[in-house]
Amino acid sequence: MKHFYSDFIKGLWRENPTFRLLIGLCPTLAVTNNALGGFSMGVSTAFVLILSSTMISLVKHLIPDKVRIPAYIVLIATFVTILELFMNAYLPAIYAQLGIFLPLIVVNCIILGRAEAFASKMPVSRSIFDALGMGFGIIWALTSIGIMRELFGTGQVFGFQVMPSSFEPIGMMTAAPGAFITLGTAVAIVTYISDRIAKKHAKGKKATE
Amino acid sequence: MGESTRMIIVLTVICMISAGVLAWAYNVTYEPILANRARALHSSIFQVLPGAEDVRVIEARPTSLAEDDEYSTKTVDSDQVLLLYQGLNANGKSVGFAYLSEETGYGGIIQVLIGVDENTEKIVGVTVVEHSETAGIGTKIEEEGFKSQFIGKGVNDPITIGIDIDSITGSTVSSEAMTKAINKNLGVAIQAYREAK
Repeated sequence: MKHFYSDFIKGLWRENPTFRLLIGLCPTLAVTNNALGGFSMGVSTAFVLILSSTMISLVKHLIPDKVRIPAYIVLIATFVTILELFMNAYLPAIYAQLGIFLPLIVVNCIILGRAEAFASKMPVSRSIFDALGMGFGIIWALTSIGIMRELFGTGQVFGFQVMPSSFEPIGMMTAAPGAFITLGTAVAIVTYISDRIAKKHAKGKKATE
Repeated sequence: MGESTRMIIVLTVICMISAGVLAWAYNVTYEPILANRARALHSSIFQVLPGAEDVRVIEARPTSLAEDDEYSTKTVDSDQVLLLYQGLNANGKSVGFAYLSEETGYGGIIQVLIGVDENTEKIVGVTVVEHSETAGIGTKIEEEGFKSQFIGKGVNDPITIGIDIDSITGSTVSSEAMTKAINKNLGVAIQAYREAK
């Protein structure tokens, strides 16, 4: 049980793919110009990550080591294409917003990274928890970046006006520089809090000794 | 069984299963995707053709145009089919037609749908169907203030950016591309519509 908990929880903060590992940044920068874009990209990536991690963990003993990367890529690409087709059919507005970054989930290094680092070595149950944690980690990271950019760039959040009408939108925040500024600030905040927590832990240990 | 034989078999089986699953997904989503596209296009057609309730698609082959027609020679080559969307009102009478035109903008192709009135043969509506212009700058081509400048223009009216059309400050390339897209096929489309209807 302890395994499952730590497998799940590490993706949310300590090993958060976006804020701590800084991987999969291409979609992070590209589609987070509003909250909905960030959220839907997060959910799409998490969906593919959970399915592919589970699948790869299930079939890992059948795949010869030398062809594991092509085999994983085929599996990942299959899930991404399924997602793309169904989104195009049933959520056309979100499909249009994510555009090219939806098929590009195939090459998102979070997904192949988790397959190589975790799913290909661990039992299925642990791989599922790892993928869930990482998945939710991506979702909250991309959604919060999207919220910040939409809030300062347009005064809205998820399309609802939240800023007073006197607020002058900062157009740059929804453009590319806004993505870098927001990500950089968020990484700084997360790192600062992590350092504080680590120091507290160290102090706590000393005190008990 | 040799190692290489095993690799081949495993990869082949994985690819076959993937192909099967994808074929299923494609089949399931094929109809809804087509319906979505048609719905998106129809709603744009109704936007540019006031009074239209129904759409009839005309496949025009603008081959009979005179060689010296300045519009035909460059942009529509001889065997190309130009789709004209005829808008019909509640009584089934034609209110005009719409057609698609595109031009390279700042970030990619700008595709516009242009609605032309049945009787006056002048533009009654313009809408951007697809574009990848810079958010907040080039996307202003979608705004009513810019688009409405094209309304009332016919094939004999000059449509020159900077003179007849005010370009958007900061997005000259996008404004120019949109003007070009509207300009280039208007004569061809009107001619083709006259012959086809």
